[in-house]
Amino acid sequence: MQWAHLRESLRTVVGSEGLIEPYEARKVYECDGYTLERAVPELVVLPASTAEMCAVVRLLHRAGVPFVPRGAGTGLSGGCLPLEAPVMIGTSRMRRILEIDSLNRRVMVEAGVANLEVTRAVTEFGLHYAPDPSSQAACSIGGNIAENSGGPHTLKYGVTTNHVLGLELVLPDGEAVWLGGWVDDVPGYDLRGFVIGSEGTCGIVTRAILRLLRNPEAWQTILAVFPSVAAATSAVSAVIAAGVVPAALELMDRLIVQAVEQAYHFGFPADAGAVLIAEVDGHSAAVQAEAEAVKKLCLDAGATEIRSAATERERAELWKSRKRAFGAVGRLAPNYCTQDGVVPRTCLPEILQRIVAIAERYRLRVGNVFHAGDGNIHPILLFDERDPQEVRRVLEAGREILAACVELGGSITGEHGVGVEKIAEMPLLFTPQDLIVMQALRQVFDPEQRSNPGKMFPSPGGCVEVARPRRQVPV
Amino acid sequence: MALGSADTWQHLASRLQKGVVCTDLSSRQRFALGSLLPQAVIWPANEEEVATTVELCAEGGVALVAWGAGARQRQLPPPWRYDVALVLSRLNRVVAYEPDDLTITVESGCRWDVLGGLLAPRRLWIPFDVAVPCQSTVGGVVASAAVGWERAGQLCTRDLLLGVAWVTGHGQLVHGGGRVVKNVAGYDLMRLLAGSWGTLGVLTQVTWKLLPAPQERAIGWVGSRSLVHALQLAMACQEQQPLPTSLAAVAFSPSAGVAEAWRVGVVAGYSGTPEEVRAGKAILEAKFGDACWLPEADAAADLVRHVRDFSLVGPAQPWAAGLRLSLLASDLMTCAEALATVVDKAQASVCIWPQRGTVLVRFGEQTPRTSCLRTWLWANEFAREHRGWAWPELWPERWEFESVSLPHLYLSRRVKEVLDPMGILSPGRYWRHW
Ligand SMILES: Cc1cc2nc3c(=O)[nH]c(=O)nc-3n(C[C@H](O)[C@H](O)[C@H](O)COP(=O)(O)OP(=O)(O)OC[C@H]3O[C@@H](n4cnc5c(N)ncnc54)[C@H](O)[C@@H]3O)c2cc1C
Repeated sequence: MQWAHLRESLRTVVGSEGLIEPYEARKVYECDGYTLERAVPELVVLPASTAEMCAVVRLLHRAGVPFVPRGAGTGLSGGCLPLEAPVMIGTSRMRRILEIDSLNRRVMVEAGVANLEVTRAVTEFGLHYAPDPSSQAACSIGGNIAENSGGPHTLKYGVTTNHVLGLELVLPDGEAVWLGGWVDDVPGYDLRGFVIGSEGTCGIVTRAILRLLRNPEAWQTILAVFPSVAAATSAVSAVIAAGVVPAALELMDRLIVQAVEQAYHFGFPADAGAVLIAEVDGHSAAVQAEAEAVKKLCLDAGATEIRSAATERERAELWKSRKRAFGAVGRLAPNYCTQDGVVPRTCLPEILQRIVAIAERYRLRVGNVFHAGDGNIHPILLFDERDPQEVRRVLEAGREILAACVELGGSITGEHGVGVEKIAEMPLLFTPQDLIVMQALRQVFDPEQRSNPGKMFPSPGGCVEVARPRRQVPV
Repeated sequence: MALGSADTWQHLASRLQKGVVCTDLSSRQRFALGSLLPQAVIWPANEEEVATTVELCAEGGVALVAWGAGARQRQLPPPWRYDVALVLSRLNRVVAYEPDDLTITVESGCRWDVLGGLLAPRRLWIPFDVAVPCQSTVGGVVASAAVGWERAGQLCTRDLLLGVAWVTGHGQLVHGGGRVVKNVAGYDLMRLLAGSWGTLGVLTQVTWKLLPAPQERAIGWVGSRSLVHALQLAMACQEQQPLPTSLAAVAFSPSAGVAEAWRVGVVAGYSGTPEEVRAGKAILEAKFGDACWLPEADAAADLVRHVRDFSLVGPAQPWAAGLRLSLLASDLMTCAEALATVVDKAQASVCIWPQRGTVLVRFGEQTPRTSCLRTWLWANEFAREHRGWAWPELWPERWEFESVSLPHLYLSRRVKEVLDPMGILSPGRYWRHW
């Protein structure tokens, strides 16, 4: 099929409001939150329903054209970079909450609905949707499913896969299939579980049935100030080892605390080496005792000050400081790259020391704000993209940090996904055989590898260069 | 290699350690499934031997069934081909135990009760229980996605798997996941394998996420006059926090061997900190003045054992056949009302886990086949009408039931073809024709 003909056929399906054609408008879609690589899609298509999505994907299938699914574009691993696919399919016009079943604590939503919208829609029933990425005001449920996203409260409540009961997937040939359903157990292989976290390589998720949780009866949110990151991480290890499972355990180091303070004036001590935000929740009978235990463990580990949020407003403020940390980093440097490694929780002090050493060696400034309770680190590497040497150093330092995580028994990604950014690191975790099996399974869903090509897996025989110049496949 | 010939086993034996391959009748009889006897029983000592065995079986088109301790083998119909019983009980090592990180990696033949015993001194647990833990292995629990009536929150088997190593139907050793509590690198193969009943590969290692074990537990009983009433009481237990960590409404048939006093009622367990348990007990006592607390380690625990093991069907259990429904909580009452008449007529026993929406119906030997069949047809229709699902569990003969949608079925079949192209792993056990 000719490109012009395809474009017109797509227009017939989605109307002019569902096609983005002018270069300037398409340029908005050239990258996600991972800004080190960019490529402008040839065409952006925005279907408004599952039926339109099926029709669009079927047309692309017939024309043999690869495509990239995109939610809100907040991904941090280049997952929706249109590198080997000219057409981007967005879900931003699929934003309806279709059914709320408060009695059974379920909700059915379209894939483009923002994460926070789900909780907002069910607050009146005393319910919430547990996975809460820091980007939750913007990121979409479809993107969350594709990345199997986590967030501060996933320490206790689990990540996206623990809360998605069913999903509708449009396969790369345009057929829609429901995997999972409304109830806890469904027959057959858990293909729903396989698709969650598959980074758009199995097709496009169009609708999902989510599990909602009751709001906890009581909570206590604690801010502990430490003289150093080492002291704060040892408090984290002590809390976990003591058998307390807080709802969240988040750490920010000095650089980030200062940036947050300058930007939003939350009242953090200027000389803090690190702060830990710990939240315990549940039944009121247990919360008090657990909060006391956490406070004591923090003091034992060297905390110099402990504060508790006394009201819901103070609690919200504390969380705002954490969730807006990335925004504050923008004040520190023109650009930053957020890494996403995982280590066993007892190795947190070690990995943070190694990060300091790596940063020194590469002459980079690095801040840390992360999900400490899960051992999920997010070193933020600051740079200026106008300096190609510095960009190269950022990429190399990032690779070293991830290699160190693997060496300590961890992983190259806890929640941001592999995308294009970490393809080169996949062989650190998986044998060639493991990768072959995964790719063979991908072909079950996408035999021609047209859904989000060039993501997640190293190309056969080739090793991925750091920051190699990548181009889009011409149409 | 000629399929199933003496050569086959000699060839296999020559590649494995001494004593690993047995073809004598008594060994084979121990691993019979229905009327089928395997031609050989193989006890590999490590994952390399598992891989070698599966590879050679694939070359010769030899069909194999992986065995743990056997507790769940009879939940499914026998395979339509069965040459080798691959018994994993010698793969029972702890590969890595990191109590401070709350993770453990064990081989798949490790017994569930042994694993529990290992974790107990550090007050840790894998936060759900399973039926007959002393006859269950890690591999069997994962392969059947078994989950018992006690769980922490919504968590079930699939939610607690951090990593797996397994041998595909080609005989290749493959890994998925890792050993840390958060990890999204690569596809989630753990979920694919959990509940695949050994049809996609032979599990050799599993890494679990651990949680601190409850400091205290209390299990209460409230007797009731009927299943419907018992379910009403159980639902009432969920109105207030703390929620029970285990909850079942039960109605045992007179022939189920349960003491008359425990036949119909609610079993509600609270576990957690002493404060939580105290608050839970207060709720139950305030709601139901006649609630009684079961002594922890004694034989009133017989009732608890009955409830815990209720999900298993098979020769060693009181049930000859059964069915399971997965429903939304709001449909449980209608289901219980409809079941109430069936239960009496068919002398069935019923156990409902309201928190998970699971309804288990069990029939004894004496139940006429037509009653079982009628109940099954009703259950299937009820589930469909209410956005749920129903499964037959252990029927002497194979009963057709419509499971997943056609596109789902097609994808499942392709997954099976990728991981087991020769169709040697438990053929026909999970999916009728493949
Ligand atoms: C400030 C900030 C904070 C963040 N904090 C967190 C955090 O705490 N935890 C966390 O896990 N992540 C976090 N992220 C990362 C990001 O927000 C998540 O990965 C999020 O799930 C991406 O959603 P999205 O809608 O923006 O997806 P996109 O960025 O648009 O896409 C991400 C991937 O999903 C695919 N995709 C998108 N929609 C679909 C669909 N409908 N069907 C199939 N595939 C699809 C894309 O192809 C791509 O591969 C953060 C990002 C930012 C910028």
